[in-house]
Amino acid sequence: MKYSIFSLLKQGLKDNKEWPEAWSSPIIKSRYDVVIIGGGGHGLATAYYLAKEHGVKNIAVLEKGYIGGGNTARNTTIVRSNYLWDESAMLYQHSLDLWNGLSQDLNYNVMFSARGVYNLGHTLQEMRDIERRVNANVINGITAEVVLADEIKKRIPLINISKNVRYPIMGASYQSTGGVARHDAVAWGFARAAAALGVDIVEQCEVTAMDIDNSKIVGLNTTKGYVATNQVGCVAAGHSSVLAEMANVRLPIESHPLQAFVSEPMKAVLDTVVMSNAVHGYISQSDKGDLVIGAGIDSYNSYSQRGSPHVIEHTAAAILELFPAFSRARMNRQWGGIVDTTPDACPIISKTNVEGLYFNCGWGTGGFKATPGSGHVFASTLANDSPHPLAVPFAIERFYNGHLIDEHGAAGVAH
Amino acid sequence: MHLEEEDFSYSGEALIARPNNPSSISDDEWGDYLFMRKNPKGRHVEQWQHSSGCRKFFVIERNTIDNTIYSSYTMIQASKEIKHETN
Ligand SMILES: Cc1cc2nc3c(=O)[nH]c(=O)nc-3n(C[C@H](O)[C@H](O)[C@H](O)COP(=O)(O)OP(=O)(O)OC[C@H]3O[C@@H](n4cnc5c(N)ncnc54)[C@H](O)[C@@H]3O)c2cc1C
Ligand SMILES: [Zn+2]
Repeated sequence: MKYSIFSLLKQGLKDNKEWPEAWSSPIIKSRYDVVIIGGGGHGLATAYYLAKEHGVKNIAVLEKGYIGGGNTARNTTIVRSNYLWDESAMLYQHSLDLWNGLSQDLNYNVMFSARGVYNLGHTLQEMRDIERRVNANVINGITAEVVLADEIKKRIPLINISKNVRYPIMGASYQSTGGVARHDAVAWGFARAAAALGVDIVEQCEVTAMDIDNSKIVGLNTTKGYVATNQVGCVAAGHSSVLAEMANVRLPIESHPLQAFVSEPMKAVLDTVVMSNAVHGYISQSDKGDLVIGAGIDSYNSYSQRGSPHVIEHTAAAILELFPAFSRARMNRQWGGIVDTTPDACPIISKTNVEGLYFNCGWGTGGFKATPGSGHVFASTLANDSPHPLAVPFAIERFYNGHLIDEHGAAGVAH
Repeated sequence: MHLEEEDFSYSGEALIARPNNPSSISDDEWGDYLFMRKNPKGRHVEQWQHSSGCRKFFVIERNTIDNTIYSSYTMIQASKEIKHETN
């Protein structure tokens, strides 16, 4: 069914009781041309673009939990592309270009809202880095400007630019084309659109082992039985190392908890996204009215989808330094996701030594913004058995030949 | 004795031996040493530092799913006692 004003009216008149399910729950087949492991945003987007742009017919997405249960719907939804280095700037900008037409393309409202993103600077050195990054962005055709404290105060009245704090705000980079989107709608939208093109989305189906013959992938063991296939794309975020181990592939990834929390809903007080590296926190306000707050990872490796309380305390302290008025806001919910961090804070989009086995992972704390772009370049990589031009620099080889793309610190807070 | 997590700093997978002759090994071996990590879901042998205390490094084996700590070692004990099991 196509969603439109007419379907809305029609279903509304029927008391909204006859909406068909957004995607079906097929019985798993014994053979697929391509299997995507992981039904997060990136995996679903990969399957969608494989079907849509490369005409691949027999595709499955295997998801061990349910659609929208992973980081896809646990993140704080910041979308931007103002990365320092050409390689990452191009990749994230490609994604931002796709965000702009995504709701129409998927026929699903992903609520992408380009409300702008500020990355604050609190020291002279940070301001120099910001100027450098803004200049690099402008050269790469990415919308960016430097804004000073007084101007920030005019645009964001609640922010505290007093000099009487530990790290006074000196200025910021501003990307007016960045913003937020509704995360679970992104997963649902891609799932629905992929299913409409014939992709089998199999939930509650965990891949438990890989069948590799003569360095070629030939099948997968899953909790729903054996699946034969010669092409497998692993898009499992925090669980990438677990899949890699099944194939004896080595990855430079470490899994860490990343926490976030939201306040009770309140009137609109913040119409943009504010991030700070120095005090380390970031905040936006959702359309529902809750303040959406996050910060850095817990330091230790973990798969537990929860982190330590002192990280929340630190994050709250940072936000209150920026917005003292929020000291009275009551927090509603707190959670964690498992993020796949890499040594250079950049993703891995790569073939492996096993023929037919590919990885798309390492997006760490900042892959939500990349969802459409990541799926788009990974689909092309799978379909052509050769990396999409934008994916070339992100191959696993960079950890052996030294061509790292060091976005640590360079990209502001890495979300 | 009870000590807070904040008294300690995490410093990653333990017992990664630096190759003896860095200049004579391949890029693959060097890349493996520098960057590749086991990152297991389950038992993990890892280094911590008592950074707000005596500043010593030590090794524990911890479960990365539920944070159970099975055992702890001084650096010297660890290199003698668990190296052979894990490598
Ligand atoms: C608290 C938090 C805040 C964040 N904030 C931002 C932000 O503001 N902006 C931003 O750009 N990014 C942000 N991120 C990062 C972003 O969420 C991730 O980089 C991105 O969502 C990862 O891709 P995904 O959506 O495909 O992952 P996921 O949704 O995690 O998908 C991976 C899927 O693989 C499945 N899987 C794993 N193993 C198996 C198996 N063996 N068999 C079958 N299925 C398997 C999992 O169940 C999971 O559903 C944040 C992350 C967190 C946790
Ligand atoms: Zn001590």
